[in-house]
Order: sequence, then C-alpha cells, then structure tokens
Amino acid sequence: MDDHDSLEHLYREAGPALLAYFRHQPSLAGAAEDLLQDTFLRALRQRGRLEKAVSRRAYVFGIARHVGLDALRRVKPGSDPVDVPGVPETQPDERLEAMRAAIAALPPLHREALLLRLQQDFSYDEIAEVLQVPVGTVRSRLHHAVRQLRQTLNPSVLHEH
Amino acid sequence: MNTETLEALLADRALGALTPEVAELLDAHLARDPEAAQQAAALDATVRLARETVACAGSPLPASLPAARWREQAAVQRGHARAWELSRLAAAVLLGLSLGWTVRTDGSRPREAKSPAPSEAVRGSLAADRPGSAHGFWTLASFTESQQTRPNPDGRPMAGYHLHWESPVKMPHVEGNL
Repeated sequence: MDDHDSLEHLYREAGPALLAYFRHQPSLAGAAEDLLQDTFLRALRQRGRLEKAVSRRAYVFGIARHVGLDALRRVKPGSDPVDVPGVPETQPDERLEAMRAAIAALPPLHREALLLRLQQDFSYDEIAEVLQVPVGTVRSRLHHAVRQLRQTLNPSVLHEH
Repeated sequence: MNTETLEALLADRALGALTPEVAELLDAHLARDPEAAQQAAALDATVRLARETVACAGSPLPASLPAARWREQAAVQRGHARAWELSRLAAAVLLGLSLGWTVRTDGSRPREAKSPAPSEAVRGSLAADRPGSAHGFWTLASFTESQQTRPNPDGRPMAGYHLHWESPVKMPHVEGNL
C-alpha cells in the first residue's frame, strides 16, 4: 500500500467523523468540506510525521483541530456560540437537554477532551496526540469534566428511565 | 486507597479507560465499599447520559468530495512548489555566474591604484596632452599610463606602481616602485 492509498484509506475511515466535527461548529459548518480538504492536504504534506504518530486517526484529528482554529480566527474571534453536537432531536428530551446545557457550561478545554473521548472513542493517549498535551493533562481534564457534570446535574435527571 | 485516588479511578472506570485487570481489582473493592459503589454508579450514569447526548454518527462523505480531489490539489501545489524551487535555483545560478564572470574579468588584470591628485601645474600640462582629449574623453587606464611614463622634472621616471588585488578574499599587494 503506497502513501496515497494509505492516506485514502484514512480519508475513508476518518473523513465522515471529521466532516461531522466541522459541521457541528456553527462558524465552520458552511466550509466543512473545504476544511476537510485542507486537513488532508496538510496531512499529505506531513506524511512523515503522520506515519510516526501513535494513532494516524488521532494525528489527522489534531490537524483538523488546527485547521478549524485557523478558520475560526479568520471568521471572527469569539463569535462562535458553544454547540454541543449530538443526535438530532426528534422530540424534546429533558435529560438530554439538561446534559447538553451542562456540557456547554464546561470549560472549553475540558469539553474538548470529553467530546474526543465520548464521540470519537479516542484513548487518553490519542487525545493527548490530538491536543498536543501530556496524557496526565488529558486525564485531569476528563476527571474535572466528569466531576463537574455530576455536580451540575440533578440526580433525578441521571436516574430517570 | 485514599479518596482522591479512588475518585480518579472511578472516573477512569466510567470513561472506560481502565485495563481489565485494574477494573477487576476496583470492582472487588467496590463490592466491599457500598459508599464507593454508589459514587461509581452515579459517575457511570453521568458518563452514560453524556455519551448518549453527544453521540452522533459521522457525516457521510458526499459524492462530490472524492479523495481524488485533494490528491489533485496536492499535485497542483507540488507543481507550484517545484516551479518556485526551480526559479529560485535558476536565479541563484544566474547570480553565481554573473558574480563569477565579474570576479574573473576583474581579477585577470591587476587593479590599478588611483594616482594621487596631480598638482595644479601637472594638471595644467595634462590638459594639453590628455590622452583621448581629441574625442573629449579620457579613461583611468590611459591617465595612469600617461602618469607612469611621464618623467619627473629631475629626469627620473615618476613613481610607477599598482595595487595588485587578485580577488576580494586575498590581501592586495603593491607592485612597482614606491
């Protein structure tokens, strides 16, 4: 499998999640496809480092994160409302709404780590690769996030159903 | 096990980040500690609900977005980068050639030192027989030559010397009678 084939395989594997990642950020949603292209162009330029990464999928997510941050800086600093991606609502669910609000209230760095864990199923090592921080920092952010969610939510919300 | 360690382990457990061996040991501990078990259940419920809330399927890649597109873009970018590199290389070669040519032509003949400014009297006599004056022009070379061949008033030849400077990286040296 040559470089292009392996990157194309990665594109098929991680592309849908990356596209969703961009589409769930209101300021980036309109340019999601272009940002995905930019992500893979950058990945193509960084093939050497990509091959050495702990996880290629995590590495390409790290690139996507930078592409997204660059695009957000170009749009308008601080104008992006917090959007917690999730299942499209067919009927309002009080529990999910409460949790969505609680997640939106998390500090951005904690929320980011939590979403990478719960949505993308990244391991702590992979999250560290995406965020370019030590694994201990990832662990600490996740613990804070979980603790804060638990404190914020009414116990009755958690035990319904 | 202190409270802090236990809380950290419970959070890792809820997030599904414990190895099976550690998870098994922790479960054994929780079986003996109802309070910790209750705490673990609350964390599990929190993370389960959070997972349910944020769960979303990836967006399917649209047909208009084939992998070939960024590969083509990459090829175009590589072409531009190569053209830019080639043009820089060509510029460097041209610059090198022109510098080499300049050094070679300058270095092939010894540099001539400027003679000291002639006195008023000499300048007057020079004006009469200035080389090339018929055409209204003169050159440094012809001027120096005329200076070197001009005899002194006492009959001795005038000091004739020139500065020999082969290249900018070597010390110049003076040749001739000082």
